Amino acid sequence: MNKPQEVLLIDDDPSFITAIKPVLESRGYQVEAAYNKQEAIEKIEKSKPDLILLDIMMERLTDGFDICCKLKQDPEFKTIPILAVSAINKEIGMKFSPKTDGEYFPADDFLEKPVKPENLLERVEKLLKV
Amino acid sequence: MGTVDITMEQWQVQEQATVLVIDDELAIRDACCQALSKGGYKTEAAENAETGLYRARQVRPDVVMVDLKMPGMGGMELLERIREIDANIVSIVITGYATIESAVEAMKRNAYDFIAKPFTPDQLRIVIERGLERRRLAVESARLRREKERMKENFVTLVTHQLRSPLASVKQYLVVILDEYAGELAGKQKEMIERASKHVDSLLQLISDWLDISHIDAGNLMKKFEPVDLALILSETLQLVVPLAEARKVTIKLNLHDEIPVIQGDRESLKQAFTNLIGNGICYNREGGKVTVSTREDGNYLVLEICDTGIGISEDNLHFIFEEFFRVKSKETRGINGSGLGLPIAKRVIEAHNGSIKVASQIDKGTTFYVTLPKKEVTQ
Repeated sequence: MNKPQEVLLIDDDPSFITAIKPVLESRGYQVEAAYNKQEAIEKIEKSKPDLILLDIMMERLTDGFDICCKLKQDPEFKTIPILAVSAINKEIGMKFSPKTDGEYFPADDFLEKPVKPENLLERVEKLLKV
Repeated sequence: MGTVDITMEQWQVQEQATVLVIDDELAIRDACCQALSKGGYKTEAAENAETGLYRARQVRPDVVMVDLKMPGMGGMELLERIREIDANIVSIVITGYATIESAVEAMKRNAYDFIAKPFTPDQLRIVIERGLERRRLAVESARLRREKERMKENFVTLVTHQLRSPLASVKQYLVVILDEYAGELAGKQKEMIERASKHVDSLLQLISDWLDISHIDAGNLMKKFEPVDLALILSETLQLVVPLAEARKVTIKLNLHDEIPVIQGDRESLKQAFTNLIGNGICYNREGGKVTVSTREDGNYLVLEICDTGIGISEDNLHFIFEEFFRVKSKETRGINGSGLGLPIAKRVIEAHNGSIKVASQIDKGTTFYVTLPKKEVTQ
């Protein structure tokens, strides 16, 4: 593979992006970032990334859902694997993991924040292989 | 603050209380208004139920006096309608001697008191004053209840967003740095970052315990009740605590009796309660120690014993272990992390299941927790 694969990080928390970027870059991925829904949609349409890392709760509670559902319904983009990442878990009374609520949130995989680097890389690799 | 109160309840009793008299007899209306004005009350009067209801919406009286026998909408219906406007308006029924029974009926429909005709101004004022006292209490307790709820909501929001998210960010940085994705760590750096990371972990744990405890109340949990298989929950719990037990070199033994009956409960919260109890037994144990979990039946109850061979809890401390944020402080417990919420959470969960939790302990011998849960009633 000559051209590096592109991963788009979508998160309104710049810290998360700053922290995760070097992890992905260490494996040679080209990392792009978007900090809100609008920016995310624009970047996806422009460069069609190979994988998307998507935060669920951004400025508005539903931003992550919206992006995910929109992409999965779009014939052009629905093949892009989406790895949802969020600090939301059962403790806050919500479940998003595909195991439990997959039909409502059509992400391809789910990771809880804070993310373990090896874990993240493993999932990313797996999703990109498919 | 951006919140709009859509309920019609009033939050304060005005200094000069308002009494609305609804009676079709002019003489009674006048007599009441006169006596009450003299007593320093603001008075309003209406000659039938419909007008009375209209006035009640307009003036928001503290006390309403209602004649039960009126043409058109009767007093009974009027009482109900007034209650819909504001459940804390105190209603007092005016009745003749012959209709004590209907007064009883009215009181069943939430009238607070009644006064029989004929009455003297003094009698009237006594009844009204008593009613007002009631009104003040009701309004005050509604206000407190509302305030408590608001604080609880604010608190949970504060904890989730303002505390948890930045901490999770910090943790994320530390994890990435520790794995050396941001460059190699030299000398003592790794060790120090590791320590910092552990402290962040215990803060995150504290926050999540905190959230848990604020979510557990009997009503909430009850909604999620379903028949649950305790043996399954216990074996799942065990899987969660095994890594901890291995790290502390403590063995766990599961001693379940055959055919554990089904109980009515919430899986996740029960699992958490047991995790906390067994986790406690592991953490406050000694190297090579044991935690034994056993079950038995006692009439309509299922009893679960969690017995450890640990350091034990002194008599003095035993009374406080279910209190929030209480932790035993001694030489032996110094190295043990905890939020002081594990046992209170367990207790709340068990009590929300109509169960109870007891503890017996002997210093240097160990501690046993006894959890009693009602079996699911077999429907005939």
